[in-house]
Formats: sequence, C-alpha cells, structure tokens
Amino acid sequence: MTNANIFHHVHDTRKLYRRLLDSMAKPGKINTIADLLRGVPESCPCSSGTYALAQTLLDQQVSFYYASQELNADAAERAIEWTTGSHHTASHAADYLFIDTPPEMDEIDSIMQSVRIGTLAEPEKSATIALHVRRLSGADDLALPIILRGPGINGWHLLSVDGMNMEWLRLRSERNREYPTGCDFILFDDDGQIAALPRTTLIERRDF
Amino acid sequence: MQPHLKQTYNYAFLDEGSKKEIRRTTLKAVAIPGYQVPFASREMPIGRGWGTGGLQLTLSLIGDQDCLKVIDQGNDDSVNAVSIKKLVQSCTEAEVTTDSERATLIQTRHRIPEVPIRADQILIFQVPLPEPLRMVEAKERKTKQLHAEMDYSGIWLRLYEDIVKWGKISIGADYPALAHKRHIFAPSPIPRYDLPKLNHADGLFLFGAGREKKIYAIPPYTDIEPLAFDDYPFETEHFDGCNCRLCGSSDTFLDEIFDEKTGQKFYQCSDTGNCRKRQEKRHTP
Repeated sequence: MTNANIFHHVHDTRKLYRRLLDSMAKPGKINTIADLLRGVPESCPCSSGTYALAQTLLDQQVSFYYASQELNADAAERAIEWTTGSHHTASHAADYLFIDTPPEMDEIDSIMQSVRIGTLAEPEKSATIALHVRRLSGADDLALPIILRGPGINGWHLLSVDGMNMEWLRLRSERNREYPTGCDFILFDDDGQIAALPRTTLIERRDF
Repeated sequence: MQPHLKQTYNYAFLDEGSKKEIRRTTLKAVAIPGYQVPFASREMPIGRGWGTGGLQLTLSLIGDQDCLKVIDQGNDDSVNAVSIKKLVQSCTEAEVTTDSERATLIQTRHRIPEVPIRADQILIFQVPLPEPLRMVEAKERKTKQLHAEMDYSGIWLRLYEDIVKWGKISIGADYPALAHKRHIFAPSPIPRYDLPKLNHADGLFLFGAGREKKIYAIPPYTDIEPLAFDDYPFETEHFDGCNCRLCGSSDTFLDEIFDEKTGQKFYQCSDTGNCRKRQEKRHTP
C-alpha cells in the first residue's frame, strides 16, 4: 500500500510520468502533481518538484546538473545523487538540468549556450531542462503570457508564467533553430503544477 | 523433491530502472514526432517480434486505475491479445476491456479502432519494422544518416518505380508518411484506411519496436502526410457494396473471409469490439 507520507518509487513516479507525458504531448497543458508532492520528505534540501522529477527521470544511466542560489545547493546535489544513483555533472554535459531558483542573466546565457541539443543524426542526445517557476496559469493573468503553436496543440494555446526570465525563451528559440536538434523544457511551479515545452513548440510573446 | 520456487515480480513486470529508461525514451520520442529513438529493449516473457515493444510501453505506463484493451488485427480474442492481457493482469490490478471507448490504454497490432481515440487515451502500436527506409537501404548506419540529412530520394524513387511498373503505388499496409514535415516514419502495418486517423488526432500514439529496439511517437494535432504524388494521390482501401455479415455496417474496415467448401466470400468487421457493440445496438429496439 502507498503510504501517504512517502513518495512511492513505483506508483508515484508512474503517476508523475503519466502527467508529464500528457503535458509533453500537449505542450502548455497544465497538469497538477501537488498530490504526489505531499509524499516528498520535508528534510529534502531541494524543492519538492525537483525531487519528484528527479526520482521519476534519473538513474545511474543519466547525468544531471543542479543549479540553485540557495546555500544548500551542494546538499541538494548529493541528495539527488544518493537517492537516484545518477551523477552530477557540468551543465554542458548533463542529460537533465534542474534549475531550482531563478539564476542571474549571465548564468542563463552560459547554460543555454552550452546545453546539449543533440545532432541531426541523434537529436535524442539532447538535454531536458526542468525549470522551477513561481506560477503557471492557463489564463492571461501572469507576468509572461505566451502563445504556443506546433504539434500537440490544436491551433494555439495560451500559457502564462510568473517567475521565468524572458531570456530562457529567447535563447531557446536560438538553440532550437535547426529542428530536430534542440532542448526540451519542463516547467514546474510552487503549487505543484507542471507544463512542458518540447522543441517542436513555437512560442510567441503575447504583447498587448 | 525440489521445493516449489515462488517468484514474485515487480509491479508491472519490468524493474524500475527499465521503466525509467523506457519513459525517458518515450518523452524524447514525443518531442521529436516520427523520429525513432533507440532504447534498450528488455527480454520479455514473450518472443521478440510478438509485441514486446508495445508490451514494454504498456507496462511502463499502466497503473491500477487504467483500463486496458489489447487488439490483434482488430481482434480482442486472438491468442496473442489474450496472452498479453493475462500477463498484464497477473502483475497489475488494471482492468481489461474489449470496449475501445472504456479503455485508457489500447495496445494494438496492425489496426486503429474504428471509434476515434480521445485526448485522454493512449494508443500503443506493436511495430515489427520501424524503419521506413529499410526497403531502399539495408544498413542502419546509412538510414540514420539519410534521416539526418532528410535525404528521402530513395523512397520517393521506389514509389515512382511502382507507378512505372504497376501504374499505382503497390504498398498496402505500413504505408510511409511524413511526420511534422520532417521525418518519414513507418506507421506499423496498419491498413492505408487507418493512416489518415493519425493526422491531427485528439489522442497520443506511441510506437514500440521490441526486436528493433526503437520507440517513436505521434503526438496529438501533428501533421501526418502519407507520401504521394500530385497526379497519383494517396488512396485508402474502400469496400463499396460490401456489408459486415454480423453487424451490417458498410462504413468500417472489413475482412474478407473465404469458405473453402462453398467457395463463398463473406465480409466481416475487422474491429471486433466495435462490431459487437453495433450488433447489440441493432438487437435492442
């Protein structure tokens, strides 16, 4: 039986994966994983979203990069390594990047300029960036409203994000210029909501 | 006497490491529609080429809240479909059904159900040959390069030669199509009749090739164009003047059945689950 206070490595990772897959197949669609995050241990030095995504995606076969302005970033790296078996590496080599607190402009630049985007023959050898933002919304009510188009979207889709630097999207479109190479984004917020921006999604800033 | 060895498997048969790898691969596949992502296909208790790719995808997705339908050429009751359902039931608490509208996951071999897939459903294909360029290039390293360079002249030439030789394109099932205007992919041996159902659908389509160790996907609302020429457009199979002998339908994909003794030909729905529902509807006033 699933204990309500433990993030179950079989059932909770599966549930999270199904919602993540749904978000990835329908870019910009918000799914909630708040019920699963209640099982994340309070002593965890990273955000519960990062912990749950790391448990779902990482093992010894892949590497990750963790960035946070918090003082306990090292402890978080080690906690992810110990619980998943994955190893921490530099941002240009990592398969999965977890950006837990908003970094400075130049750090965004250096991450995005060096992040792996795969090759034309092997576009799957690219990185996935899991970005912690303040809030996600499907309505036009937050600081950064964006219009999404592309596979998985019937016409267009509106997604509003709070706590995400515009620079991420600018550099994303630069790096993703030559499809199928590119990197994929997973966004997760403080309320346990997730959305995804795979490389196929075209993003327009909604200005009014 | 040897004591009876009791073996217990992990939930949904596969170990968590295998599931994670399949899940990571599937997420990549969804982000690159039609591109075949390699994965480390596991040994399964059924032979490679008997649906192991589809089965691994199903097991990486399924949970106790799911309702699974498995079809083999549209048929719910074939040996392979029944065995796969039994295997899944023995290692999960998931329900099984024959009703495609009740199912949350549908694993299929060579057909897409007649009732369109909804946004909350996932259709999982068992794929024997995932490489559409294999008929023009035998080496994997080369086909990979052809996909990378989007050099599809070989397969276009093959279609052209068909027209020169036969007056039409002779590919029946597994008709190649272009996904998101970039990758040519093999839709698995579904009839041409089913191919347009992949174009701008509501649901997600996942393809698993166990023997060839590839996973690929078609997300909802994705452009899927069957390869065709302006003067030789893509055609689907049609069944003019034929009706299903069981439910009477004339707008579904029909199988031709031949009676050896009498020499008579019958037509019958390929999608047995849908046919049964239609029969029930016909009999209830």
